[in-house]
Amino acid sequence: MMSVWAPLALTATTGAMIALPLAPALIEVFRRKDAGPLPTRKDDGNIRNFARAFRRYIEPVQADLASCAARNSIIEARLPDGAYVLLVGKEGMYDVPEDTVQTLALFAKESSLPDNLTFTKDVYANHPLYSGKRNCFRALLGEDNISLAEESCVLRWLHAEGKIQVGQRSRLFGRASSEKAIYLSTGCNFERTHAPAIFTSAGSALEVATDAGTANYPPEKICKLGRSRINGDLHLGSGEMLLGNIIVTGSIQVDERTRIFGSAKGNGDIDLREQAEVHGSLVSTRTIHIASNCCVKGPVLAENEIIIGAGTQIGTPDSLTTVSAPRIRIAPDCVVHGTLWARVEGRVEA
Amino acid sequence: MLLQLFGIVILLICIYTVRHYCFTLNRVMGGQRHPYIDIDTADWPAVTVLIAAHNEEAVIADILRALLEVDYPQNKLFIVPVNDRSQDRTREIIDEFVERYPGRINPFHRTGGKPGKAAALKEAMSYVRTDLFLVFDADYIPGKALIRQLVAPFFDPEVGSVMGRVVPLNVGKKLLTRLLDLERSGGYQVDQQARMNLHFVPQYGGTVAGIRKDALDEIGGWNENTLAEDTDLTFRLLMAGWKTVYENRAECYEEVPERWPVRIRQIMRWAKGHNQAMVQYAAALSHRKDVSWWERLDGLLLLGVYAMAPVLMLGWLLALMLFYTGAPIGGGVAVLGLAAFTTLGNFAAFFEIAAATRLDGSRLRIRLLPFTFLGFSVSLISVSRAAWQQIIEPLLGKEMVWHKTERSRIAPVAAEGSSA
Repeated sequence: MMSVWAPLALTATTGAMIALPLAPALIEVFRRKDAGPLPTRKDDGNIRNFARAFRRYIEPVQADLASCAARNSIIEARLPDGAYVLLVGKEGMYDVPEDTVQTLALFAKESSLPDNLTFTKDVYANHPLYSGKRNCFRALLGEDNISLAEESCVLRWLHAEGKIQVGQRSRLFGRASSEKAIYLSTGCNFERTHAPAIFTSAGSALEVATDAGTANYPPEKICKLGRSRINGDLHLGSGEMLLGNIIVTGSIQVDERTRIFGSAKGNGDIDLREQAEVHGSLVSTRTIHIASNCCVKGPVLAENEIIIGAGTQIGTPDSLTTVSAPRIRIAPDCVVHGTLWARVEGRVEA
Repeated sequence: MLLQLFGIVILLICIYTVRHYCFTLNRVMGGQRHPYIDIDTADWPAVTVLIAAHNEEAVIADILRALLEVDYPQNKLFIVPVNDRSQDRTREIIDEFVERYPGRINPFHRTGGKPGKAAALKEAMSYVRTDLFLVFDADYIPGKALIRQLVAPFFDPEVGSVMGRVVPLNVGKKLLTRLLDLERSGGYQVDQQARMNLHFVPQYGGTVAGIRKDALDEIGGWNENTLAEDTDLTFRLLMAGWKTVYENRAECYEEVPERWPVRIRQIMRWAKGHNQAMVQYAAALSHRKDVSWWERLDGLLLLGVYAMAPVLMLGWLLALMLFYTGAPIGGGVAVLGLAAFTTLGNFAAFFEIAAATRLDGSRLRIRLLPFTFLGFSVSLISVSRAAWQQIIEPLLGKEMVWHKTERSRIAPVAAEGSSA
């Protein structure tokens, strides 16, 4: 006769084998460790948020900075959290023996920096700041204009209430924004930039770029735009005018001086030839190639790359817009009103 | 005959299993598409926000408060609560807000007419004077950037509708809410985003969503004879050449059912509505040459997703029958088939949920994965029951009834939560 223990042992072993993989689940049910709602985005995504936060952070030493400026001196102070901060009240060239500044640096007056200087902490400038060549900043906030000399680099963010001029072969990682204008020279790399006007230029940026962006738009159409859906590729011949939105399952080629009073979407490449105009948005699932002296009023979005030719204007001063793609290559003498956002790499190249 | 039927069932299960795996692997390893997420500067168009509300006194104030705080040009945002025959304090609460914020809220108090969200929205269209409009259910709490995120894709002229991501807020209340949280993660973080990545058919979900009015007009407006106006709209837009876009980062909190009977009614309604759409559009979609082959395939699989529950149950039944009747091919195959249903096929869905929790960066809730089998079983039976009712009820002359999902919220959400 079989012992009563045998089925009991079998049941217990089987039960244990079933329960064992369920143990973590049972523990989580009874001792909750991850039962809160998933975090969702709380901020409004404003490009100026880092600058605002930094301004609040250094607020406690603003009075010291003002007195430092009055005394024309350089002193070291501490923020409420114990962080050291260098307050520079002297005007003109800021001479430091080291090539690295390892504290926060606040400049009270118009200042120039020597070449090959690196700031490992954030920098604040109350008045215009002129960097030296090959300067490297962690982050930089200017209440006036900021000028970065050749081969400078900003690692996290850059914001100026005035204009920003970026010298050749400089690199702007993260965010760069200005309340007035950004001037990018040839060889500059950028990621997310925003300003009422972003100019690109071949040489000394400020001189050239102010001439850019003078395209005249015809008056807006009052009639409601329709929608055309085209299977295959679309080729719009030179000088044509198209009213309405076009959606193409293939590629789009828009020849010289053709105008589209509406938006265009291509599920392939889009090729805009010289002096073409699009008064709405331009969207491609692949690459957008905009030749020289074109005009696009609305957002320009590509899932692969956007190449912008010289003399092109995107957006208008009254209607800021966004140019966005993983990679953006933009030629000198262009102007973008709004945001120029390259997730992977943006570059100004001739 | 039984054997052939069993073979078809196995084939269908395998197709859906492969589909789950493809979506999951795409999310874990493939390139991700968020083409509109970077539009942060634009000449933002005017937009109307419709809030579908039927007896929503517990939640309506939270969404109105959140919408009044969103980051969107005030003169371009029109808030229209659609108070659909409410018999509780919904009207009173809305009117209080109208009084407190003059010119910001323009309510539509519906006192009669056909029941159902689609019917209410159809009547509310006279209040929409903008080219775009967004739809929220009353239990949702939009974040500050959400309206811009949902409007941004409409700069693409091919986009007819936009769907955001739904995130459960009352997760910690019950085991059910925790299971629904996992299910939602799988559905949005993996399924919807994978469809977006692969240029398939992301589904317009009826809430946290936007529609281009021209597109809606072109397809003949809302279909008030459906229980799932969202699925219906997705497929009508697709066949008219409009794209539906999914914005995974346009997240919005919602309240999920806290009681099993509420959940069962909810999923039965979804199943019936979805099946309606399948009957109505599957054949038409399969013949549309202007819709890409992949979109057609994905669309058909999406339409059939709720039909798979009764098919799965049929498979179990057939496997047992073949086993016990000693079918000539041997019971072993039937048992293997049965094992395949309960492991590989279902496991794919669990794999999807596990991947979603990882993508969400939430590592501990994955421990509850074994319990999703409970939710799966309840859904399986409920959806099968819904399908059965759908076949039987017309024969008995019964009409399909729209059931509103009951809310459990009893107090306004804390300020921090509402701004999230």
